[in-house]
Amino acid sequence: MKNSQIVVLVKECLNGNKDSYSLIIRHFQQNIYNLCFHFLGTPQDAEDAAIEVFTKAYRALKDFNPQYAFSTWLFRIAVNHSIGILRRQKREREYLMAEAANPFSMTEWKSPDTVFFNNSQQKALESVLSSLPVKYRTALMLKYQQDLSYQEISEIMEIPVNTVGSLILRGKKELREALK
Amino acid sequence: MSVNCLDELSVSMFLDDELAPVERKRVETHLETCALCRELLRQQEAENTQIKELFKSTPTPDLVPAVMEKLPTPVLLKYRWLLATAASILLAGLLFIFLFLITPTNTGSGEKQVILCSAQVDGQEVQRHIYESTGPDIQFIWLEKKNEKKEEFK
Repeated sequence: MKNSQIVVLVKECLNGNKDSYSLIIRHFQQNIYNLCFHFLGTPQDAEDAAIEVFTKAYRALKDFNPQYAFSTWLFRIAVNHSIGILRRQKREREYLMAEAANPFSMTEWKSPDTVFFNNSQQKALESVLSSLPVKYRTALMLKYQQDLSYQEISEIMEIPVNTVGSLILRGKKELREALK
Repeated sequence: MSVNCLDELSVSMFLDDELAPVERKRVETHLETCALCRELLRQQEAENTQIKELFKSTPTPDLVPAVMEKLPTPVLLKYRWLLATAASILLAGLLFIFLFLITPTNTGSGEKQVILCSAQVDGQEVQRHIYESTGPDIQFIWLEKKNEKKEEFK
C-alpha cells in the first residue's frame, strides 16, 4: 500500500470511519509485531505491545503529518513504546544477566566469520543481541529486519542521518566483541 | 593493507546501499583490485545475513479484532478535548467547594472545633486544633502560631 493510500485511510479515520483503521492495522501488523517481538522477547508481550501501539497511534492520528511517511511515524511510536516497556520492566538488566550466562564466555576465541557462519550458535547470537544497548539493537532491527533506509532510521530514532551508519557498524562490532 | 584500503564503515554503508554515487564508484573500483577488502566485504555480508536471519519474521497473530475493540468511538475521539475540558472544570468546581465552602470556620450542627493541645515553641504559644465533621468523613488538624495558620489534611 502506498503512503498516499494510507493518508486517504487516515483522513477517513479522522472523519469518523473507524473501519478504515482496520486496513491500516492489517497492512502494518506483521512489521509492528515483529519489531515488538524482537524488543520484548515473548509472543504475549509483543502482541500486547503491538495492540497498544496501534491504539496509541489511532488516538494520535490527528498529529500525523501527511507530508511524511506514515510507516516512519508508526515505527517511531512502536520503538518508543517498546523502549518504554523495556525501561519499565528493567528488562535490560535481565538481558545483561543472560549475557553472563552466554556459553561463548567459556569458549575459545573464534573469528567473527567462523562464528557468524555457524548455525548451531544462532541461539547464543540471539542472546548476545538481546543484551546489546537499545540504541544499537534498534538501529540493527530497523535496518536488517524492516529494511529501512538510513534516512528513515534517523527520523524514527530522531538522530542525525550521518550517525546511523556508524551506529549500525558499532552494533555489529559490539556483537563481534560479545561473541569473542 | 594499503592506505587506499576501505574502512569498515564504507564497506558497511556500501552493503547497505547508502553511499553517494561517487563514493560507491570509488569503493567498487577498489574492490576490483584489493583481495583484503573483498574479504572484509565478504565477512560483513555474512554478518548481515546472519543478523537478518536472526530478525526473521515470526508468526503474527491477527491484531485487528483486539485493536478495534480498544479504540474509542469516533464521536468521543472527536470531542475528547471538549470532554476533557468539561471534566476539568467540574473537578475544579468540586475542589473549590471542598476547599473554600467546607472550612473549619463553617461549622454546622454536630461539627466541632477543639484545641487538642498547646505548647511553647521558641517562646511562642502554639496550639493544635482539630475540626471534625459529622457529615463527610473529614478531619482537619492544623497548628496555629500567632496569626499563622497551617493546615494538615488527614
